[in-house]
Amino acid sequence: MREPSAVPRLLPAAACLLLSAALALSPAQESRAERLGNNLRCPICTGVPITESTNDISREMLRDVRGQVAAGRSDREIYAYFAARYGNFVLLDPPKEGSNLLLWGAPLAALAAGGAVLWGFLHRRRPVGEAAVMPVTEDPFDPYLAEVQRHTGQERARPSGTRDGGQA
Amino acid sequence: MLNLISFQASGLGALGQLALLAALAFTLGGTWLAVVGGLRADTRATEAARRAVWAVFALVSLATLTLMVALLRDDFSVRYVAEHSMRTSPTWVKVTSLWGALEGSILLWAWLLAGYAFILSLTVRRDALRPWALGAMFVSLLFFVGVCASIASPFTPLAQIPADGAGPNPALQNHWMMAVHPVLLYLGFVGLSVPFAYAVAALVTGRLSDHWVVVTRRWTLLAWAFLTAAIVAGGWWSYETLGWGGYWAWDPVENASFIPWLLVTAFLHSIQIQERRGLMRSWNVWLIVLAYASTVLGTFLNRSGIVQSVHAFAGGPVGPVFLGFLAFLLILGIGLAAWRAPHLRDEADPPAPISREGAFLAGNWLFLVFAVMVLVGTLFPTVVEAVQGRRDASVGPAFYNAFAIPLGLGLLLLMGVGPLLPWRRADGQSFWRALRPLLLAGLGAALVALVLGVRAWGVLGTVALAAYNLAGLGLLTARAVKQRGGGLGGLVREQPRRYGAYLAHVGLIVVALGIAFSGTYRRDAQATLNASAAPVHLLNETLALQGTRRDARPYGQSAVARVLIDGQPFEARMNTYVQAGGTAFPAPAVRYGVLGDTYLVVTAFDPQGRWASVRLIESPLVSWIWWGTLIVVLGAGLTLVPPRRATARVPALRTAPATD
Repeated sequence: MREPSAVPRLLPAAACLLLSAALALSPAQESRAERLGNNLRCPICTGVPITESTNDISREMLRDVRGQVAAGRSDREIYAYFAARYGNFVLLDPPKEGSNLLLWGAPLAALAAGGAVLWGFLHRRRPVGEAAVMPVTEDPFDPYLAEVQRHTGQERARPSGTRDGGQA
Repeated sequence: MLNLISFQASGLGALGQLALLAALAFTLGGTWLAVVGGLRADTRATEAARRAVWAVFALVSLATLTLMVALLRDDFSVRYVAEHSMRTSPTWVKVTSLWGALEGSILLWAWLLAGYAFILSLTVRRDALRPWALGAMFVSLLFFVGVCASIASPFTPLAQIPADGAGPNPALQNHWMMAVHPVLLYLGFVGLSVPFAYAVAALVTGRLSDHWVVVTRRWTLLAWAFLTAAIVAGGWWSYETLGWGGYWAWDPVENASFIPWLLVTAFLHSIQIQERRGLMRSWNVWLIVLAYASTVLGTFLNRSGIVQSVHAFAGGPVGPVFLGFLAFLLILGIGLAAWRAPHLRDEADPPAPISREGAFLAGNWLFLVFAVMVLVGTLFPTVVEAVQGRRDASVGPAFYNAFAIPLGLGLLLLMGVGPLLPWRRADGQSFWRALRPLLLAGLGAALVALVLGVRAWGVLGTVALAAYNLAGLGLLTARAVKQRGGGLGGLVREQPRRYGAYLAHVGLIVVALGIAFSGTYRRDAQATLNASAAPVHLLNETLALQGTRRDARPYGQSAVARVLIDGQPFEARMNTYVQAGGTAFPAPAVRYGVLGDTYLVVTAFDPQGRWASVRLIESPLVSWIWWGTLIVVLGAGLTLVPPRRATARVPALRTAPATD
């Protein structure tokens, strides 16, 4: 969510138009500049990219982005340029290197680990003898009892979902 | 030492503080009684604990009422009123001030918790779980009432009584949605305390009966519906007030409310496996413990200021206390679950991969990965700061979207397969036959979208999966209607749970389409409009400034730009509030449409009123998110309706409950 107090003393939009008119970018460059701007954080606001912020520093940075896009620099070079000036803090799309690999790798690791656990669970087969020696808990789930309940209309105690399987 | 109470300084303050201290005393007593009732199987002690809940609810209600009266009567002798309200605010703002700042929001939390405990005390069955469920509620109450009555008391005396209060947070008085979103969110968060209490009770007693499953599922559904509505209401608030035309920015506190939602959604599906098959017992207990803990984590993030966010209230002593409670909940839950692990082992064989259980479990997997992703993204900057000593990392939407889009599409894929599959094991051939029309519908829809010019793969995927889901649900419903005869209404009344779930799925598809289109095809342009000049063309629209005016109000003023967009009048405002100096809060003018919204924000004014700078945003299908959520909530409500019997059956055998 955007911080409301990031909207103070708005630069008159006439000036903004002048700034953007200063550089003529092709539509492809324009959308690239916008994407880059969306991934650069305003250094003095709360979690707002420079495209959403209207303070002078964001305007300045956005103009810088457009200039560098026009000069044909790569995304990587542009991000590196801003990181060097304002710190990694301004990179809303953290580059996939160094300690950021922990960030980008964590969901993938969770996906792999979860997948392995799920695979293991679905393909686990109990040894035949084990069920007999398992300790009986106080109220084990009893498929037979459930079947009897289903036929005697006992499932009213449960919601109707007990009936709804197996029809597909 | 905290100075908690002063009878001379403030009558209402003293009343509220006394009520909270008395509530705390009853909570302590009730906790002890519940534990005694549980350990000795003493029904008298349990009954006394049950009544202690009523006293706590009455006393916290009294404290809440006291604060509300103080707010409405502008009684600035009460600290909270002096710090967060003022005379000139409209009445609805004074009412919402009750939860507009830290102390009041914790009081609201405590009050809702006491309310849930009260309802639980009236509905809880007389079995072995009862004392422990009440006891677990008391432990939660102990924390919240304790915090409320001490370090975060809204009633502690003031050194000097001011003539007028400092006023509410301006961001929170900009839109009426602030009256709705926090209350819904707390109803959702706090509602999870009941399933958590049942989980603790089940772990302590070692009884995870069918009854546990049914009761926790219903309470969880209730909390889930509130949470869903609250998250989207928060998005709507953001859309309507923050002036950037978006509704979700992966802000840490938004994330904090989303993580419990993901975990609870996973729980609602996996608990059906336990209900049907008696599997996944310990997994379900883990999930609900984690979901409840994640609500406390959310509150901790919100209140401690360790993450940068719009929502973060000023720090204070509350953050560490919440962290302590979070640690306590996790240790309690994990400790109990580990201790009871042998009792929670499943008897039945694991399900076949292609079965409804298999689909639910795969869904659980994706939901958990989603939750881990959001959690890691939220905490990563804080961890980096802790290691490096300075804020040197940010995680923005680019990271979250990179994972959220494929994970969301994966979940939509499973959502279509789930209802199609039978329990236990699907026969491969008939499954593929059942799946074929869905795949064809999805493929067809994607082709149509492609021909119509959709190129973004995320949108194509969403369109395909939406058609695939709708085809599946439509075919299943049509087949059931044909088999049963009669209309759809009778079928729904017989199986409200099944059709409620279908309806909720339809709502989610509507929401998914809204998110995909509005996220991808949002367009945005800025212009300066002159009152006397010719109309300006912007994004297929013609904009003409009719004039500007200033509305002065006692609590601030609004600068209003009247703009005609294609002949339709729009009044976009820029509000300033007396307590916030020159900071301007935009109030956009939005015209809602089925296919897209037109959204006008004014960004600058000429003091003489000759020109105004505006930002025009057009996003397609945004309102589908709000309507879809309404459908989801209606569906969730429908699943809670008791089914009507189809035909007269053999009278039910009233067997005694197997527990006790």
